[in-house]
Amino acid sequence: MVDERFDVVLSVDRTLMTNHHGKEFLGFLATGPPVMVPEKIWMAVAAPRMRVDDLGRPLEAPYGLRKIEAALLDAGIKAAVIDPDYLGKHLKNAKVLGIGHHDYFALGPPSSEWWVLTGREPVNSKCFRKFMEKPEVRMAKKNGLKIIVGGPAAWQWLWMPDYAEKWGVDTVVEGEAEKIIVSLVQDALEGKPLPRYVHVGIQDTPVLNEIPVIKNASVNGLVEIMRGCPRGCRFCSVTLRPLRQYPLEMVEKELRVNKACGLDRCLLHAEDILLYGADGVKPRPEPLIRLHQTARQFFKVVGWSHVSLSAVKYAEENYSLITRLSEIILQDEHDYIGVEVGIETGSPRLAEKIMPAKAAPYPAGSWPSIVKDAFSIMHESRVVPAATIIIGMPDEKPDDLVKTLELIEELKDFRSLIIPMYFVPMGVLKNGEWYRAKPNGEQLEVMKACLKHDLRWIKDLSNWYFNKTNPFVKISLKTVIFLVERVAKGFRLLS
Amino acid sequence: MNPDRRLHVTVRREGFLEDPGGLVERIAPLLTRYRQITIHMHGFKQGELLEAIRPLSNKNVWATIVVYDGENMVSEAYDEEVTVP
Repeated sequence: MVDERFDVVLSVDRTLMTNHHGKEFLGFLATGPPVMVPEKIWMAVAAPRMRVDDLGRPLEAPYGLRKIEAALLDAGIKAAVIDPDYLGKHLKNAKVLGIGHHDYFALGPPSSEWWVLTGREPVNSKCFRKFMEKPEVRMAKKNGLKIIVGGPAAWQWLWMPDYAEKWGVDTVVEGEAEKIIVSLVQDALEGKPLPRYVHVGIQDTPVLNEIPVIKNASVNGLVEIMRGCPRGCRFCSVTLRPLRQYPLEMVEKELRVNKACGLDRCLLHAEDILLYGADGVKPRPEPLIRLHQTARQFFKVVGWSHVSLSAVKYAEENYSLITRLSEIILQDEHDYIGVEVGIETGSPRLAEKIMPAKAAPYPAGSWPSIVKDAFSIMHESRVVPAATIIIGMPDEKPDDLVKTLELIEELKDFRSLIIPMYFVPMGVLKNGEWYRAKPNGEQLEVMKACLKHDLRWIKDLSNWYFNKTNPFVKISLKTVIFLVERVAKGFRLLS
Repeated sequence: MNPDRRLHVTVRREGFLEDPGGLVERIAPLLTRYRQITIHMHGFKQGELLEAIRPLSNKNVWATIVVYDGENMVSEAYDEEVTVP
């Protein structure tokens, strides 16, 4: 192996340091416990090992770690993202280990929901624990390594303070860290005291020209096109951040980085792709068409992370824009685009209360019809929504769940997956056995309706989704789907 | 929020144990008035420290908050000093 030393090593456990076989949606499996197959097979399907170079640097790495790596490299600090299987050699010399995670302790959705429903710990938190207890990490810590943790799940350390103490975590950083990480790491390298906790406020959140361009490839070619969201939903933290839109040249630079690293696909990421270049919450055709044409110049496969349903409706009804964009992206008549969308509720009352701007420019009270219209448009344009529904909101009433059930029924003929997200109130986390908080009868009915909907569509979609996937993954997943279907039939969820 | 104003908060464990919610309650009205709030917490174990500041993560906080162990004092100039409780 080539000898090169890094002062800062950035890493994370296998459930995130993986490309999920090039299928982002398989990442959901890494948030649950193994279902009906041994854990080794579950992990091999959900989170296969990554290809690495001679130094143990992964070919692709989570985008957040790539941004931190870029910020440190731009500041002249010797930093690298290292695969978790290759930490030993590097931690002997490194002074700082930086870790970023989506769900350190499986407290966020959908991990918490899997845990509540199955009573079993999801693989992501198990893997993370093993990562922190690796002998090479413990040894380096004994020798003075500083550990800085961050990412979207940084808040979880405040609920699991014993682990911070046990593993010797020096600093928890909450918020966008590109701007403050450099001074924090410089302090660590100079042996200065580190703060235990940093909450990145608005003035220290990076503005556009302070967000670095990634230097190495991101998982599945993910490139951010915007940060923040203007909709202000009460259950979402993204909405607290300022809205920033990357210029097309910046997007293009990151597409080039991924292309140069040998990737054959890209995934455009924003809280709402359709708001790129928008007039407020009204999508505009020109910037979106240019964005997609640019992405297609580099990659045959272009994916979307998230869109909002109101933007889908507005874009299609005013500019036939979903049709036009899908024509740019789709390769042939057998192809689809998968994308995450948020239904959250079928209740106009709850929609008005917790997400009044999610329907904009339409009134929040017409939310169910917006959802139906958007699903219909996406079905026609071969866009497949993976939709979330939130169950267990603090203000939720039985009638809200009835309305949600009615909406799920009305969506049955639209090609889609609907994923219930069980909302675990933060207060419950104080109790060490929070995962015993079970959903009530109506909530379970919504979960069953989602399962019924998904089993109806999953077979249709699996032929497309697993086309060109390795046979092991295809067979494993088809087996799981078959077994889940049999169990569902046993419980009379399916006729 | 004044973009330049910085607040320093000293927290002593003895008083905090009598009034565990005191820290965040006391500084909550100040969160909108400062660009940066540095908190030095004296006598806390790391776990206790993280637990004490936990309510901050549920608040809509616009200031940057930096929390140190009391033993790790950083001498800087602040616009206002507060001791809790």
